[in-house]
Amino acid sequence: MNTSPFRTAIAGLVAGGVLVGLLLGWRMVESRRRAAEEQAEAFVECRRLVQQIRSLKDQPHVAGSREQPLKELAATVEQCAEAASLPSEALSRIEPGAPRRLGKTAYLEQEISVELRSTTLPQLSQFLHSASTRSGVRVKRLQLLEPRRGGEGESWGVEVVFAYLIYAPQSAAAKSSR
Amino acid sequence: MNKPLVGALHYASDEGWRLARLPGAAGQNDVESPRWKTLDGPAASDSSFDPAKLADVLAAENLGAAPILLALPSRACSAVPIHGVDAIRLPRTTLVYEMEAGLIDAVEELAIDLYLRPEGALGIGVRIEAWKPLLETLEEHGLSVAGVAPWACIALEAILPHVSGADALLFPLDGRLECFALESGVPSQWLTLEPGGLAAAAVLRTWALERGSALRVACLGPEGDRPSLGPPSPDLDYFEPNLKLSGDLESLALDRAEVVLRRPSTPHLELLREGLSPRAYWSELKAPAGFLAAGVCAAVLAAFGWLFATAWRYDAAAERFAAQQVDLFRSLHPDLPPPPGVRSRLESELRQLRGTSAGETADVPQESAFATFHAVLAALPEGQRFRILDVRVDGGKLEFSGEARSHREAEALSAALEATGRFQLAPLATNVLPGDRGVGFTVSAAYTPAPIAPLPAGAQP
Repeated sequence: MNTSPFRTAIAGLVAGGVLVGLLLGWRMVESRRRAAEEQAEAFVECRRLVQQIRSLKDQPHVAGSREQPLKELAATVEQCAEAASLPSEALSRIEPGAPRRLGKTAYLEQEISVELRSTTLPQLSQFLHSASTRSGVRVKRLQLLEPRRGGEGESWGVEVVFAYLIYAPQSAAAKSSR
Repeated sequence: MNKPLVGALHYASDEGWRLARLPGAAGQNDVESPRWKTLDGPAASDSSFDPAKLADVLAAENLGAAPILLALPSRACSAVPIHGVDAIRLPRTTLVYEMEAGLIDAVEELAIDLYLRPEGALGIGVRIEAWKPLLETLEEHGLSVAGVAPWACIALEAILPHVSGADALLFPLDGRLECFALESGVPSQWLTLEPGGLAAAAVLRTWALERGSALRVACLGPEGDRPSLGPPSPDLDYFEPNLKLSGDLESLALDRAEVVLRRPSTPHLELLREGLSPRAYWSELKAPAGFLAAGVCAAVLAAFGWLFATAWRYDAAAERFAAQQVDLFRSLHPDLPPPPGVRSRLESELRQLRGTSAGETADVPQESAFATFHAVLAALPEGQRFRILDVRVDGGKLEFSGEARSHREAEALSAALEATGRFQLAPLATNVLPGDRGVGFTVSAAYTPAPIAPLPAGAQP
């Protein structure tokens, strides 16, 4: 058969082009398929995550998600004192400590030392209860000293150390420090 | 611009192989120069004929790949008339086998073409075995044979337009007399005769008898060399052709050869077919190959269509799942704009919630000094007099000191705490206070909170 080299070359180029086109098309379809599968998996995972988030949101929280600034801490303590009907002069000192990591855990603990004067036991009990209901706050140490008898009954000098638990995984802390 | 033509390669019995270059052919600039060139090669009829030698001679002519028309001598051809069939409508294969009765060779051994008409046909064949080696050798040497036809038929086709109305045609060619019967302007019989009009007249009278009417015979040839049929007879009439030859018939035939080479679709007798054509195999495969190519094209188009449709479907599915993720996020946080990565955002949120939830913080201290203090207050016995002077609680550890009226009352206080089952007490330390003020005591204990009771089955938290 007498076929011109030019026509043979063109035919070869066309055939090669078609093959390359099919190959590229197949790769395109594969990448789209993978993308669709990933989105489907992501959707299933998101549905599961949302269910877990909803159930965890209903549970009590023992840690905060961020470090609280001093102003915010002081305001919280004052609110608790107000809830316990403590006069403003009874709240003699609020002293926050620096957050420190609890061993190798994902948590930081920030201590807040609070000194109360002339506080009755019902007031103290209400004050501590009010603080304990705050997210991430627990009464770590408590010292009652110098009981005095007064018109409203026995009052005490109280030093309370609250521990404010902050969830701060090492990797997140490292990221935020960058 | 016309493509270059080589012209006709003709085997003439007296001169051997001749090559005629057509006007504008490769290496032919002078149109008026003599066209025929006798080639220095062996004759086809020689037993020592070697096609390769002829191919070498032709290769030396610098013909390139320009097409060649191979013009065969009449004696190499077999002509068989077919009568009484509608050759226009009958399949070619049927007509070919109709020829078999008039042939020495089997039709499978011949390359055959036909002149067709409604009342019959004239089949002309050439032995494949005799000419195929030459054609293959020429092809192998890069020479392109574009057509194969009897030289007489080429000349006939050149003359036919000028003899409309004639029933027979006589013309000298290649030293012989070519004699054709015509019906409706189409050749119906062919004989090659020795020169001289007597034999031709006998043949023509036979044809006239077969037809049952007088034949109008056109005799062509150079002036003074026209075939003569002898004295007039009732069976044969002379027919004056509408043609005045300025040169010989071969020039006319070469013009026809040029037409055939330039426009292969021109209707003409073509023997480059079946087993004789190197292209015949491919020609037979042409139709199936066409269908195959069309099928492949359709399959390729379908494949591309499927690929794009599938890709589109996957894209649509991916978009649908992405939108559903956004909907999930909005159901959780209606007031927040959905982030680009919903999944990673939810994962991060869940990690944080787990970190802050009660159930997930087993590795951090949980003891509450408030719970311990509250438990102490609740456990203190009523109806007893004692005075507590200071209390120190550190998580679950407790120490308080005070004054009671007697050792027994101090012991009772300690026992009340122990009775709760939640305090582990260190040995009670007491001391007698001076001035009959009773006894001082110090209580040290560790508090264990009560475990959280599991919920009853079916109860909601």
